[in-house]
Amino acid sequence: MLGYFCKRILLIIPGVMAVILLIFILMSFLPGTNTARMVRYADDPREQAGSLSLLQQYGKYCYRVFLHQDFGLNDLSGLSLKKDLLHRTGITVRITVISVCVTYLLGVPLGIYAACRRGRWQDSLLTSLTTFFSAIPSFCLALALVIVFAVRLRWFHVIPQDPKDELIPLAVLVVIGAANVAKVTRAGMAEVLEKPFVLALTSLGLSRRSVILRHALKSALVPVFSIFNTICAQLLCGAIVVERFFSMSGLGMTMVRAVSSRATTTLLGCATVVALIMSICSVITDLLFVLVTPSLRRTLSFGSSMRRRGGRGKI
Amino acid sequence: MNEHEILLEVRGLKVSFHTPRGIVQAVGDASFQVRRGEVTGIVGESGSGKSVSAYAILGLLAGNGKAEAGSAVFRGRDLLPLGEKELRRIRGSEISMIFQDPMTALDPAFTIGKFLTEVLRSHDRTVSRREAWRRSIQMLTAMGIRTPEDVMRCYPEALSGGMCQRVMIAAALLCGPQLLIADEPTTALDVTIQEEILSLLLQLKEKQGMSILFITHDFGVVARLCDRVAVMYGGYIMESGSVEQIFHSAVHPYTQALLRAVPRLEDDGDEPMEALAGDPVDLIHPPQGCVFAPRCPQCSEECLLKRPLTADLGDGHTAACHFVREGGGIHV
Amino acid sequence: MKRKEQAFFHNLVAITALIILVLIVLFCVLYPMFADTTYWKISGERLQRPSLEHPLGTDNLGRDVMVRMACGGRITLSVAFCSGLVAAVTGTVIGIISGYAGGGVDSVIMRLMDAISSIPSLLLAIVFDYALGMGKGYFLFGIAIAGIPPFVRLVRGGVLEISGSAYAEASRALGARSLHVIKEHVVRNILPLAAIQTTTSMADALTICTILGYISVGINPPVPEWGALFDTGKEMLRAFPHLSIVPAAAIILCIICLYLLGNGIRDSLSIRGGAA
Repeated sequence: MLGYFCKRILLIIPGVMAVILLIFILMSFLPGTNTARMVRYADDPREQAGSLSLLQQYGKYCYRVFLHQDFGLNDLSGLSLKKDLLHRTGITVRITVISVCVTYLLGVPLGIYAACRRGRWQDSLLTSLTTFFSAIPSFCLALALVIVFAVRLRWFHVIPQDPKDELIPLAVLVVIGAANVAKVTRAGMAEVLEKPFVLALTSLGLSRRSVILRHALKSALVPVFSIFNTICAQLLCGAIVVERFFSMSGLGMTMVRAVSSRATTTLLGCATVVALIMSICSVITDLLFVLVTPSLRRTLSFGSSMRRRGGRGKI
Repeated sequence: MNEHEILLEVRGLKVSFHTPRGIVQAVGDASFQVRRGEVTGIVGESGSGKSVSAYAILGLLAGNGKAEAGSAVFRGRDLLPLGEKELRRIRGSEISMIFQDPMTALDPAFTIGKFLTEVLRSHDRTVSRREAWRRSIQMLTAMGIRTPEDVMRCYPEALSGGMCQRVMIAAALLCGPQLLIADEPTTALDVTIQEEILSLLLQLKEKQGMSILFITHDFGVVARLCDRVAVMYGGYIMESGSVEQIFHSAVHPYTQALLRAVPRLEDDGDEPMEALAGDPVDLIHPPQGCVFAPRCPQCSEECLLKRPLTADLGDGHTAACHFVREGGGIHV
Repeated sequence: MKRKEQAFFHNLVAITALIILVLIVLFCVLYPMFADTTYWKISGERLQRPSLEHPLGTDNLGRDVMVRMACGGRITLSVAFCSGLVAAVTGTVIGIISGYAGGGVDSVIMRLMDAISSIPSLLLAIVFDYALGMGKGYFLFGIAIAGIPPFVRLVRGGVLEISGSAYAEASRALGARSLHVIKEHVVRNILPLAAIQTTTSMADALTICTILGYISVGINPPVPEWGALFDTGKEMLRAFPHLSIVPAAAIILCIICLYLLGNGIRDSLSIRGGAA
């Protein structure tokens, strides 16, 4: 299993390279840009700039990114992009990671609760709330929260100043993410609770608590964990919006500014970082998935799934 | 300990389910008993309410189901009004249950070892893990599993159906229950495996004096295993009595029809087997009279209007039919 | 009896949602045709209160907000519907190919889908818009591509399930060609599921579109888009709350209607024969 995940982690690099390639190809269609020199570097010689083909530029970019962590020059400031990206990624990653964790901690129990109260008013209430909150765009929710908590109640500053003020942006992301997690958890749990093994365990005198939280939950978590990277992607998108709303200088803000001032190198750098983050998320998704699927865990430690299908008979 | 002490007595059980389509009366009136050391069979086609009756006894009905009337007295205590906490103490340790499809009755995310030790320890916290493990292995061995250590480390998906059922029986017997409810335990299995599970149950009954409530639709299985039989149709007990009484002197038209539909070796194949005409009962709108009347070959005016009372034919043989008189004899 | 009532109730909700959506679309299409101003024309004093002449008042440049809402709705909704449909059609076709071809083709397609679904759709839209020319609506392809993977998984799963099912084997044994069997079942069983997914995809596309408008990427002033309208309205929230509340309400209403429509289809399916 360790081998599998080492492989999986190494596969991040070609994955990110594929995304960069896609962007390079797309950019080459871009009318009116200097396709001969898409990425600006600090040590670029002034004169020979036009001599590299697109593919060569791509190779150079990947080489520099992966071996020297050199993302080129920030078109917006003219300084090295690496430092800037590091700082801004930190901001975005921090709010995304915190909100993903809180999202799961909040969404899963709510979903379990709704599934256990299936058909009663608590379930209907939670279902309506999750539908509503997954329909509401993040900027609308952000505005509503600001009006209530910053303008009326004056608990927070409208534009974040203290660490405490980050609670509103976080709450926006958490509410939207938790609504989705709760929806999936409820559906998964409701399905598992219908399974015969739940009845069998109850008939053997196990407490309802143990049946639901130890046994049923383990199966119900499979769909919940398999949407982990969808949730991450969603909250990352949300983070971009929230950054803009609260004027936080994260990755999203940089990306938007890069687009409006046509800063190709900067946009490319941001996209690379986002692709990297998402690849890491998908490895984590796989890891979570394996954790709740014992048969998969064994398959991985024994070898490929092919071998299992062919080799291992039943006792 | 009295040989023929009544272990479980179900009287006038009535179970309904509230569904979007209306109230489904799964069990209308069921009375039967299980004596110590005996196997009682409940026979009926699918939808006759036999499994639901068993679930109701242990309080395992789905959220929309409710035991509305009747009693289920187990060792002097009525189980139906008991709360979840008290029922939990009875489930597994006094009455256990095994199920139709053993492959889906085991939690796929737990190894057999974890599952068995948890069952044991959930009833007795004082048992150490090591002790629980030892007793589980002992129980698996008693179930005729030759490599219990290997099985303990397996996930259910690595086991065959027969093996899963043995594990399930082991789990059910782990805490020494006095009554085992077997809900069609052989239906989903291959014929040869069925035979193995049946002989295992038979062995439990004969060697350990286990009392079993055996639910099935298979008269052949009933003949091999049971001491007493209750025939159920449309949520009502049609006829009940000892195996001999039911097989040799059945009085109820439904039982007779069922017995005629069982293929026999001695038949030379000339006569066609008789199948019962008509559709099963509509449980949302049960008929006013006898539930079997619409399909009964002997149906009369009275049958359509009035529900027959259960008549005692002596020696524990009862039948619910207008054509059957108290004390025996058939009135035509 | 009660079953029919319940089915009808669910359909009632779904039908209401559908009617609301149709009304919104009709409003967006028709209103600007009959209004005597357009979204970029300054038609009166700045920041007027709602009046008969300007049902939602005017914005900070004196443009009629009602017309801007309708024109914005044209953009937002057409982006949502078009990219949802493009994703649905492309995804269904790819899914059928993937499930039917199997083997190497299948695994390449599924890897590709995994790759696409690991890129946030907003990023895809931004990159498409940037690379293919800004302000020309190319972000629509980005949104559509991001919407493809769920369709492929759904349809492929359905095709695999059907081609392995007893039904397909029985039909093949009776001499039906397997492609025909699959076609029949794709149409009968999978298309309704794809229809449910289409409503979800449209709702997602609508969200992304309004976000793009909000962060003014791909949709630039003076083009009104609901997200962009919300953003301009936000600046004058205290004095003119309706400038941001109306676009926000429109967005939420459309998304909820799409969800309810999808739920309605699912419920009518499960009541009819438990396909979902």
